[in-house]
Amino acid sequence: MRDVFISTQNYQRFEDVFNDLAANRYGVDMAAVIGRAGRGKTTAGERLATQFPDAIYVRPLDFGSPVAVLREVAFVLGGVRPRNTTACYDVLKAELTPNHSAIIVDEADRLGLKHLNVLRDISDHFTIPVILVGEEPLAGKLRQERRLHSRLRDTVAFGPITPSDVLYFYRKSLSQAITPDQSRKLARHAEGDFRLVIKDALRAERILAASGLREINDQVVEEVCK
Amino acid sequence: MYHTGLANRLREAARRLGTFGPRELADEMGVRSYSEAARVRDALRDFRRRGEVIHLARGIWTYCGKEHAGRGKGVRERIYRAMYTKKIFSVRDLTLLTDADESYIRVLIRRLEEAGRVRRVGRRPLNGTRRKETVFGLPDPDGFYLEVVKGS
Repeated sequence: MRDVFISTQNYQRFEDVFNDLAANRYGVDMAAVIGRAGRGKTTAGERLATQFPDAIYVRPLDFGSPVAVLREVAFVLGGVRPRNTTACYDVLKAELTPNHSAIIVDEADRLGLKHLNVLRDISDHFTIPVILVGEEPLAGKLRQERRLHSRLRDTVAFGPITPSDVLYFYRKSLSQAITPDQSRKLARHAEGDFRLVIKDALRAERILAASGLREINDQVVEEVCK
Repeated sequence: MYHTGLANRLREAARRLGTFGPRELADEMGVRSYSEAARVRDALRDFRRRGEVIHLARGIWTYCGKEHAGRGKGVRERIYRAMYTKKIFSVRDLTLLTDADESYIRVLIRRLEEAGRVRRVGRRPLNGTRRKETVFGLPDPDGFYLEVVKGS
């Protein structure tokens, strides 16, 4: 199986929101990416941070104070972690430029409201987009405060892996053209979890190698989904 | 065109040393005069521009091989950024995040390992199978960010 990144529909939506926020700033410059574990949110965030050098990716520790969030952003920008809030703001003021596309905050569902408000402040003061990435509790936290919720330009719900994603994955990584029916069955079996799609694909690859078959057929899919 | 043979001597010496400092390289090349040392420095700068050598940290260089000359600086930067973003990673993780060539990633990891910037932290099952992949980590993530990611 080849290691290739599959641009799933979830990832494409995330990238669209990222590009929209980076290109147009209207003062409503926050977004949330919400979904269950295993749907690929973190990988998508990491990939965007890797592909776009002007993106800032942080993953604050949940036991850290709100200032710790600021410190992490200050470190990525200026290479320093000032002790107090004012000094952190000074670093951000000096280092943030209009070229910076967005701050991606991973595991944002584990942050408290104070932390989220610090991020809102950064977004407001420096007109920099902030994308919060987290599991379902993040939506509830954001709804608790209207000033947070109203600043969300877009919310991307990371849904289950779709049959078309599975079809594309098999074509790219295994060079196998599966039918729409087979992809639907495999997507259902994986319960929307991308990790399970990979495991199923590895199993299918092993079955092909053991049986001497060259193409995935309905029997192979049945065996994988057993 | 006039060839001094300096580039070939530098390439050979750098290949023998793997990871080196400028003075070490000059000694390996048998440089005896200041003017020649200055020419080596200039050549090293050209090698870096072409991507044949990488500046890992202050005073630490590494030779990647002629086959990597001309590779986009962007790819290397992406790989460094991916390493810092993940902190704990395998070659496969970096391939998925950066779309870079696996062999190039392995070369970079090996060189960074020699420079003490990356270390092996263990092995883990590959996607829940019996196959295993080596996992690497950053012993000093902050230092890595400042000297390798920002300094590249």
